Amino acid sequence: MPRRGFSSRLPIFLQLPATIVIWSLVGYVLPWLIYSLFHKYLPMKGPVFVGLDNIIALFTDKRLFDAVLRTLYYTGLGTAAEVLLGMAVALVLVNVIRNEVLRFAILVVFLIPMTLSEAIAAHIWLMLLTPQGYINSLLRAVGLPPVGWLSEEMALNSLILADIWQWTPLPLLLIFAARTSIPQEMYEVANLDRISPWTTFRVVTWPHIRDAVVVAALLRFILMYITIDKILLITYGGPGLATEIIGFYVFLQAFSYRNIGYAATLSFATLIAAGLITYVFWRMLTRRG
Amino acid sequence: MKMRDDRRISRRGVLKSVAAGVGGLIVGIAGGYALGSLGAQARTVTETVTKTETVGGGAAQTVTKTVTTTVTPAEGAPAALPKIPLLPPGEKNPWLYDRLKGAEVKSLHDSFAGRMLEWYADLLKNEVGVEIGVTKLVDIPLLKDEGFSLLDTNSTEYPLIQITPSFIADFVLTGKVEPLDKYYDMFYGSDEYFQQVMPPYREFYMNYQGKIWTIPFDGDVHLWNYLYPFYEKEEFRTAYKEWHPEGRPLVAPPDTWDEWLLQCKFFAEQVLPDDKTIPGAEVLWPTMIWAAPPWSWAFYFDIAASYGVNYFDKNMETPLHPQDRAIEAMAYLQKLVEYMPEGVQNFGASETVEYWLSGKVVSQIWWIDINEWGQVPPVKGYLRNGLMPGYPDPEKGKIVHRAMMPYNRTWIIPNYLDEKTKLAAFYVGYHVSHWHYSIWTAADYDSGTDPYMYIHMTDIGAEAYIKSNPYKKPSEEWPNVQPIFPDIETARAHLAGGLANLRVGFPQPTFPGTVEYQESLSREVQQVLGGKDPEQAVKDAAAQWIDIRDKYMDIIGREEYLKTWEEFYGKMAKLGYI
Repeated sequence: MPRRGFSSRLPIFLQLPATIVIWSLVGYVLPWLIYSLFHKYLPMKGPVFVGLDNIIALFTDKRLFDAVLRTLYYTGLGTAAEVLLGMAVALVLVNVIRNEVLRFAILVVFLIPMTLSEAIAAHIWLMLLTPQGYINSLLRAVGLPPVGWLSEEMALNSLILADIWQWTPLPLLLIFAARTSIPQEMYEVANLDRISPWTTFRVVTWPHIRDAVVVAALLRFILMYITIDKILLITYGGPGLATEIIGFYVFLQAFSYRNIGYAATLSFATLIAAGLITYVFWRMLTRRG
Repeated sequence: MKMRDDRRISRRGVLKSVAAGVGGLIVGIAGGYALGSLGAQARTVTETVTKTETVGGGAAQTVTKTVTTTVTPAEGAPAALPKIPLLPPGEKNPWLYDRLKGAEVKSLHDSFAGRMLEWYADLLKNEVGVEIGVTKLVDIPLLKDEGFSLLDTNSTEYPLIQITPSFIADFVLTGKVEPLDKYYDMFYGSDEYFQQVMPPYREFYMNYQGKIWTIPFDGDVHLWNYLYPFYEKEEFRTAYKEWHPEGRPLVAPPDTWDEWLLQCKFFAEQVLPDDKTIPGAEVLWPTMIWAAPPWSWAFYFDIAASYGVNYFDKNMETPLHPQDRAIEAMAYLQKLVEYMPEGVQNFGASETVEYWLSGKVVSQIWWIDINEWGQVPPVKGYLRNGLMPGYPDPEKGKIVHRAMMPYNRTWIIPNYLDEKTKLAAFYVGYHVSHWHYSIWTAADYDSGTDPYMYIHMTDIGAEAYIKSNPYKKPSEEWPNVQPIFPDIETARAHLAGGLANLRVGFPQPTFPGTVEYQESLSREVQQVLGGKDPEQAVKDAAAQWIDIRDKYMDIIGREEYLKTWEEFYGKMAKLGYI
């Protein structure tokens, strides 16, 4: 039947525009990226073939190595904190707050930071974190000594804090949606059977929210991994190199130093790493039981 | 003993140039009026070319020569002239009008520069028929990338692109920047214009490898700034003299860096923080510094350059040469940190401006603009500036003062534009840069640009600071019509401080790779402010500079790269820095 044929193919037609756009972009960028891996872009001379020089440079670049370590710390700690906090708040909202209106109102308040652009969030945190900023003013007002939030020792943690503030709502939203989709009857049965809260969480809640948790963690990991906005606007990678993570380092190489070939190599390595991370998360997502 | 280390910008030179400028201005205006009164009938144009030739890099001799030519064009058409006269603002220029009519010129600026082309849009349209489009403003850290992006994509959107001359070589190396020699040469009076531009700006910020690439519209220099009541209060003066190990008086500006350090120590130990010298202000610290990349290197170099440190040695083998002096200067900076606010390690533009304008520190180094912005309570009326402290060089037997000239604004023109647009862009940039307009622009509250010509530094320039800009078309977006300074004395003092520092102005590097040199040194400076060993910091910076040098030698060729350094070094020698 022609009609059935069309409706069965409808999903294909619906996703076709997006697919064409995405693959057109990838189809242009990816070959160019691969080409750039083996070239150096010289002013007034264009690309010059350099063989594996850019790739070898990856393994001898001490600054990159340090940036990788910082990135792991920044993204690892940030993602874990955001997902755990998001999950905790989502569960408290659903399990503890029974009033629908109040629950919704609190949820909306929690979502506000996520609606801000990264640049605005960065400026807010800059105002909070400077030595004479609002946080230190508050500390002084209650008789406590000010903290060097943007000092070499603290700056990366302060950026993580800013990211947690802005992006915890994303895991919260995903996990909240997953949690509210669990039939209430399952909790009633658990209650009748006098199952402990921990066991209820492990047996009833977790299997239903696990996918949302993994997706939230994946999203946050990838987005933190490539972040540059807050770093650019709050610390510019400093003091010294204390907050230089991979995304910012690639930005500097590409746009400040104009090492296009090396920046492309860094981007490609980043892409591979992101692919591997996604694979790990995918395995976690698809492994059942 | 206090001595000036050089006189690249001599008093005589200033006076001569000013006289030439004033002469040119008067004749220009008179010519313009004459032209205007004759209407479209037989026009008589009096073009006066006043040359002020400076011998020895502006050091000693200036010669002024004036040649007046009167031309009466045939009715209905401009006379054929070897060059094009630059007429006063708003006057139709018949030698260019038909050629440029309908061209559109837009510019890319940093967000602090101001939108002066738009202020003067109607006048420029009257002059040559060009349409001035909306200026694109970007944040200062993104300006260079934006400029590169426009050139990379052969964009024709912005025929005037603002660059910091630090990156002049990097931009020229794209092969997409138009050399401007022939354009300057098209106009009568361009020699005089060049003579008006301060020599370091002209030599380092307009020229590269023997060609002119930029049109200047700003003049940046660091100044030593202070809250003057702290230096004039009798109580403090007496106490300082008694407290000082050698019994020296409390003077502003301090002669030497060591003297400044002692002053900071005095204010920290004897005066602050419970002091009410400035009503309404809470002065908490003796000083502060811009520590964040990419500009902290320049604040370090205010000190280092006076210690005799150059970017490289003559053969470009040793960076930050001589390194023992570079370490000494870095160690000095670390000593100064004790008298700065906590968290100074991250201070950049917003923190230093905020602290200064709210009166939180006694003295500090910043660009000349900061006291213009300081016409607000609680610091209004209490700000002064003066010559940068210096280093008593034992080898030279005198105190050497240096003031960095970082940032600065100039325009470049992409070479892939059509000829009409290139000429239109040049005309607009050149005329707005010319003292016809710039004497007002440099003194306008809505513009971040500062004096860069001799004439800007004179009483004529000072007058502009106490009057409204007569050429600025009012708008909601640039509403300030009030003058910056309340009286001529304040304006004169402000410019005198600027000139004192320009006399010892030290150029930022303009050879390829500057962005990386500046950034790596800035990060080391920032770390020293946070406690890093100064010797290690200089060694680390030097090692990075060697890598950067080698990288650029690899990119453009060793000989070619050494040639750019030789050129830079040669200009330094010519202007008396070495």
